[in-house]
Amino acid sequence: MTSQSVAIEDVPENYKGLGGRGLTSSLISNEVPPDCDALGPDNKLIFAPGTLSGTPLVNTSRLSIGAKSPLTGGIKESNVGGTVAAALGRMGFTAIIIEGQAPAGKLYILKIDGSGQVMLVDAGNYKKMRTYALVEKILEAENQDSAVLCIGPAGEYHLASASIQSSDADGRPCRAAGRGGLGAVMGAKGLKAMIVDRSGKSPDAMADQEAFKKEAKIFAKAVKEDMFSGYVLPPLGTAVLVAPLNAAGAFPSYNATRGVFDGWERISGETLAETIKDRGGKTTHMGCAQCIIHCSNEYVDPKGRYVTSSLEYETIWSMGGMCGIDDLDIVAKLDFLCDDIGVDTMNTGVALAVAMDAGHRNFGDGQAAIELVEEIAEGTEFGKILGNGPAAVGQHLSHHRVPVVKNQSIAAYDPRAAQGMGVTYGTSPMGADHTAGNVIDKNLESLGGSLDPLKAEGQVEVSRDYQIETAAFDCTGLCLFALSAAKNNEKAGEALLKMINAKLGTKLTFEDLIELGVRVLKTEREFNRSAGFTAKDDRLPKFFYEEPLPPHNTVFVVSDADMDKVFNF
Amino acid sequence: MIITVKLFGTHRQLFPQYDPEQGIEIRIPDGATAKELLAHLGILNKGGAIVEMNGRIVKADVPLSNAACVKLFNVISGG
Repeated sequence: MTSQSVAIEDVPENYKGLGGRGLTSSLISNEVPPDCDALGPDNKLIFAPGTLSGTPLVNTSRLSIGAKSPLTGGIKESNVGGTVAAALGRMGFTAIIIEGQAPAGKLYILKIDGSGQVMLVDAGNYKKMRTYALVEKILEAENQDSAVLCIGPAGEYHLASASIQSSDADGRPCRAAGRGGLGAVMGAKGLKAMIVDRSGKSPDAMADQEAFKKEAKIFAKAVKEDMFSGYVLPPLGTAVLVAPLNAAGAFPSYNATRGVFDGWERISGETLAETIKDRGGKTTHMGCAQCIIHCSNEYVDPKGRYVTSSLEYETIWSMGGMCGIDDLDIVAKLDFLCDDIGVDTMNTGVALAVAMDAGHRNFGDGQAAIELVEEIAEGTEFGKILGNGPAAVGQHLSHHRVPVVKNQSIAAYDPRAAQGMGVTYGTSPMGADHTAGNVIDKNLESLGGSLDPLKAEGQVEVSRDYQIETAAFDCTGLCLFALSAAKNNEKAGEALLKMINAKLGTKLTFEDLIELGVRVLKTEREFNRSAGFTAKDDRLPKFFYEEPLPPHNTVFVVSDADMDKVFNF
Repeated sequence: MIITVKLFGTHRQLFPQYDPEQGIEIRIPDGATAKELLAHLGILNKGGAIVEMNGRIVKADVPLSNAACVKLFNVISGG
């Protein structure tokens, strides 16, 4: 970005066969000084589709975006759906690396046309533009069938909760690489957007195309037949989790002071689906390229007008339960605002909750929440504090109850009532993260399962296993919701392995994939250690150990010694 | 004994006339367990369910109480 130059290079030998998170984390580890300023020229912003993105396989349009995070100060991979990963994969792009820094005040767009030509063009006229207006203008001016990644005002302000928004299958910037403030890195580079023509068709040669096609069919069938991805997610989306997490007393509410939200039935997945259906919206919707799960939705107002897509469980929690707001219309409006301004709904909702808990506003005051989020776009003093996340708000208001790890907010599972999630929050190199090793299915199994969610026993082991398998899975470009099929259906698991080998021309085994996951985690942990992280950074905030969470009145009980055993490899 | 069952998620599809306010009344043998209730409703072999009684998640072999309100949720993965 410093000289506005573009170079296309072959993939170096040591990166061959890597994709997604494995590639972003390896590149950052090798090329980014761990002690650099995350918002300075030495940081690199890397966009990497998975190894299977751009192939005919379903649900492979997940993009890994990597950099040193201005929020956590450590390595970050933020994973997003939409259409861009499939578009890049179909053109044979393994990664796009953004280096240097544009001159102060300059803003650019990176364009990739259907023939794979890459150019940087001036974007000065798009300064401070919100994402929906930006993408509409871009698609008017460009090929309508383009995939867009972009930042809003928050990214241009370099705020630590700034997201990178990704256009969905309908061309709306409503999918978010929300975590870790990578929108701020993009803003600091001087990059407003990346546009990728979706018509390009020159994917990397596949070692065994026929074998791949055969296995892809087996895998797709398993995704359709899996109970969660095939039957539960399509009609209800991720919001289906609201009811069982409240039943478990693990739905952090009123800034994580209660485990059951009084108004949970008013914001549940069931109520969401009924509301959307009654108003003529879409309860099921294809958000990402090549998706056959359709967990997305389109939320509409009482007159049937579009409000937002997709209203997800984590946002319903952060803006709803955490802030004491039981009105889906308010929650949907806040979701839209975050996408439009370009901030993480989770970090922002939790930042609002901390502000409410500190008495800055009242819990349940939806109008106040909307006004405060609007302040982020306006760039007011408190807007910038709010846009820097819960830790910044807690510090500003001198409030102790700040549910973050490595400065990143927790997700919609309280570690005191789902102890395994606390292990992942604490130890993941990404900071508190629900996608780095989500063990809620083990903490909340059919008929109680075998693991007690309120106790420490077995939680370290399950978090370790899940973090490893997720790190490997995140290299493929597959959606995590297809993981359920790969794990529960032996034929699907074998098909996935065969497809990786058919694509790469390798003879990898399941053990090799586990080894890949371990390698990715080791690389990330090593980067964080060099950036100054120690075992003390792998702990939850003190209040989780000291303040019992109703209704179970339990605290987080996994010992420090056990937390330090998660990565005993 | 008779219990009231409240259904969530896709479990409601089992009873097309299901009323979320009322739930459904089910007659099962005295002392029937959570697992036996799922078998009775045909859910056991269709992915199972998370079962809540009196505000607590219960395990397979827990006997249900007469006149209890039992809630059934879909088995989930993280999202």
